[in-house]
Amino acid sequence: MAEVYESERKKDNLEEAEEAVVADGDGVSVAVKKAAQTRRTLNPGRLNWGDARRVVSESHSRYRQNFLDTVKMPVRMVESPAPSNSSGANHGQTCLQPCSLLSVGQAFSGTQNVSSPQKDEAWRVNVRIQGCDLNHGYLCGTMEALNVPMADTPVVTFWEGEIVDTKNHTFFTNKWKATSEVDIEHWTKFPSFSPLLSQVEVDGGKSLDLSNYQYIFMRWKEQYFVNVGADCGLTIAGFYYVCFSCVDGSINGYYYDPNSSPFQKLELKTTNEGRSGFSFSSYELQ
Amino acid sequence: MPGSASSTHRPEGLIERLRSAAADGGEAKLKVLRELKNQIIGNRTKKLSYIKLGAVPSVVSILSSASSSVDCLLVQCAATIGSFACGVDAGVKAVLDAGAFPHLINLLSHSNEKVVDAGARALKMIYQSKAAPKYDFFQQKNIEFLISLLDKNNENVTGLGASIITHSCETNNEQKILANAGVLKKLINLLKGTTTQRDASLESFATIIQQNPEVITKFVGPENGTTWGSLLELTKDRYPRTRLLACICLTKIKNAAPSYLQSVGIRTKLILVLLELVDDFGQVGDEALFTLSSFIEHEEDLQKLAFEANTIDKLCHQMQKESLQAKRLQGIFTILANLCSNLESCRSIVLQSPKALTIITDALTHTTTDVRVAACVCLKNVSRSVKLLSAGHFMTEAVIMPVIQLLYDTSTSVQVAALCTVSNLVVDFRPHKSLFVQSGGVKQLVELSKSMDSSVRLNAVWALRNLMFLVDTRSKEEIFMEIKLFPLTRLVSDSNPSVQEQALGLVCNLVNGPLDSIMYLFTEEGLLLNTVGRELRRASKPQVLVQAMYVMCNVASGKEFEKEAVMHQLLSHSSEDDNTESIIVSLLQSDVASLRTAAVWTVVNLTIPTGAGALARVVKLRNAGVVSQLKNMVNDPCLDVKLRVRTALGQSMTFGDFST
Repeated sequence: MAEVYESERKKDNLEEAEEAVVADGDGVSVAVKKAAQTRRTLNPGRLNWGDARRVVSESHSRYRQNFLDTVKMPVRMVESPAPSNSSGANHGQTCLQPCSLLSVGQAFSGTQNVSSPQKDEAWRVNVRIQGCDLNHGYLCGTMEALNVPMADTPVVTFWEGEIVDTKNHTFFTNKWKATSEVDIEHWTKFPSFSPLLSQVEVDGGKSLDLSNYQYIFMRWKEQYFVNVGADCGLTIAGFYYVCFSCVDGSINGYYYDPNSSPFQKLELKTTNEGRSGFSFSSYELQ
Repeated sequence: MPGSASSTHRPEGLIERLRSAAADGGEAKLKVLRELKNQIIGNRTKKLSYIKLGAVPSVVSILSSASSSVDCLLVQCAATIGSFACGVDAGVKAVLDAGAFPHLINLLSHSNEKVVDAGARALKMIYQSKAAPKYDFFQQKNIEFLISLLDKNNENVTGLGASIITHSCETNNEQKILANAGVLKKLINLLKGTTTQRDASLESFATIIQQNPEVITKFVGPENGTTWGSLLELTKDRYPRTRLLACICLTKIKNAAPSYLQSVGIRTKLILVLLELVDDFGQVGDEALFTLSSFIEHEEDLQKLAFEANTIDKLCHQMQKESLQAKRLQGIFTILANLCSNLESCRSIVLQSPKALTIITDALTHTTTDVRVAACVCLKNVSRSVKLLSAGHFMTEAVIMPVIQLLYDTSTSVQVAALCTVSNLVVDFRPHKSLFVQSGGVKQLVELSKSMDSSVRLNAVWALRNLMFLVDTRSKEEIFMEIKLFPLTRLVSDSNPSVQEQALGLVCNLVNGPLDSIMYLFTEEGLLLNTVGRELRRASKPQVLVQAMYVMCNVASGKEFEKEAVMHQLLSHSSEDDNTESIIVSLLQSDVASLRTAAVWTVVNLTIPTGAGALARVVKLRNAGVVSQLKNMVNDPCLDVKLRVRTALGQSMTFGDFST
């Protein structure tokens, strides 16, 4: 989700022009000025990007910091294979392998950087996976934004995810106002995407076999607001390009909406609710 | 001036005359038989009344004593017996008890075609009832007789042959005997006959091919051009019943041998024909609903085609008509359930359709059991949507209350259907599942989890497991207080592994969430933890072991005390022989990737290097062979396992390299 950036920006421009117009004694400009004052009241202490990062990092235990420490092991390991080009009958038809860190019930927390040229801002974000169906390349869950300046309560949205498995979904979005150029522009922001770039440019990644790749690429599209009305001042018109690391469960994403700040970065890590380790829960629909 | 009715016009009078006619003979027999037949034709009440008065034995007695030369008497006897048998099982039973069967069979070899026709018609009536005797296809002479019937030029005789097949052919072997004897070919020939012959033939045809891919491959497939072409052609017949029967045959072919009906064009055509037949508000329409349901069941592609053919709109519109018959409602719910079993778009449309959810929930209290079950299954499949569950569409009094009420239903099939629906509805995703808890739902679920019927028990535990998913602390406590420790322990050790799996899933959810939750496993001297540990050593079903392992994993994500308790469970030996490997090592060696994953996660939790006892645990695990087993798994074919193994090894080695 994002602030309704385009209209906000227009208001900001108006704000800058406000003084001059007021000098003309124009009735319209008075209304604009009042609107600007109201907005300032609604956006009291804005959390800046640096603060938000600190909050998140403090919430993680020392164990988390060490989690990925490279340890020299006395055994020979086959290094993580680069995604291969599948051929023949297997052409892009392999489902991704299940990853326990991306299963139902798993929770993540972090930030979404919503900074724009006019302001430096980040929201704290919690995500919970509610459904996962790898056969259909489907994932869904909720996203909770905690310190949204214009909202009194945390704003929760329900999102649905397309897993780029090259069977159900490719790297090309083909909807949501995203061209293949926009797709490539966003995917290339993830370092783990670079080995895939050349093939994706050819066919959207259709012929890639990602079943053994340590990263899972997804698009998350928010579908509705769970606890607030659609008039809450936020927009869910865009969607997230997401890269999930199967190694440690970290999630990076970029929000894309032509009418919002470009490249709003989402950074999430798994949470363990005060435990010294990982805990799992599950349900099964009938 | 109205006079009093003569005693001869009352049933008793007629019976009296019938008996004396049977004894005396002559013209009177014919007259009284005709009178009796005219009275009972199409009148169920009168049939039952005359059966009770003993009319049938008298008629059979006239038939048995009649000279084969008195053709019209034979015809009247057969016609009267046929009327008694038509549509009334008690009539069929009375006719059979009176010994009419062999006499009617004899009529089939009579020289007069009218006598043969009347005999065949009466026998056909008998074979259309479930009460008819089973025909033995294993006797060669019986098969020869059957084929002779199908070869006759009389539509009632061929119809009798077809009815015998439809009634008596049940097993795979019987189907093969009939097909190999050339019966299918005879039936195909009959498709060119009259409407009655065609319909009877199609019905028998469907019986012989049902669930028998071998017979279908040999006699029916597209390579048997005539048969295949005839069936497809008959889906366009002018008579609705014939179209329906042709669709039934094609549906049975598709269900038994899917490769024969892959053409999207034919599939779509079949769906459209059936949908058109649904407009018939009689038996054909009802059967069309069930045929369409069977056609699309289990196949997502067909469900998509049916969805694109606007099936949902049509059914939702029809559903809103008042006073629909039970069969119609059941059929509609069954199709909607199938459509919603996989397709999210179907679920959304059903939910958006005006009044659809209300009609479905209203039907949960229908007087007919089958309708209650169908409505329940429909609601279950509509609620298979995480998106709709998360939006809270179902956790309302209007939906929850009637479903909970069904948990008390006297019919087990309704209870099971309701439990399956509850399993979905309670996933809910809101932490405080108060409505369901406050409405008494948990109490009844717990009650049903003690049922002697294992399917009731299984689904009750399943619902409790889903209810426990991500529930808040207060609700968790309330639910646990209701289930209670000892019954939960018994469920974990249930004789049915599926029940165990769900019970362990429940325990897993119980100890997930806030750290304090783990303590549920440590009450009564760790009774529940010990039980889970015992099952880990005893169970053989992988799904049970996976759930048990995740319970251990969740407990191992606790503090030092909890981690040590898990160590104790996992390093126990699977048998009393101390030389055998510990249970954790054997589970790490499992062929089942999900079990290896659960086992490695537990080791990851146990080897987290921050705790005071971490080093001691790592040493114990190393001594038990866990570390060397992990080293064997660094290139595990399952990516998830491989990554966790690296983490576990990495953590183990923060205390030093144990490779020497």
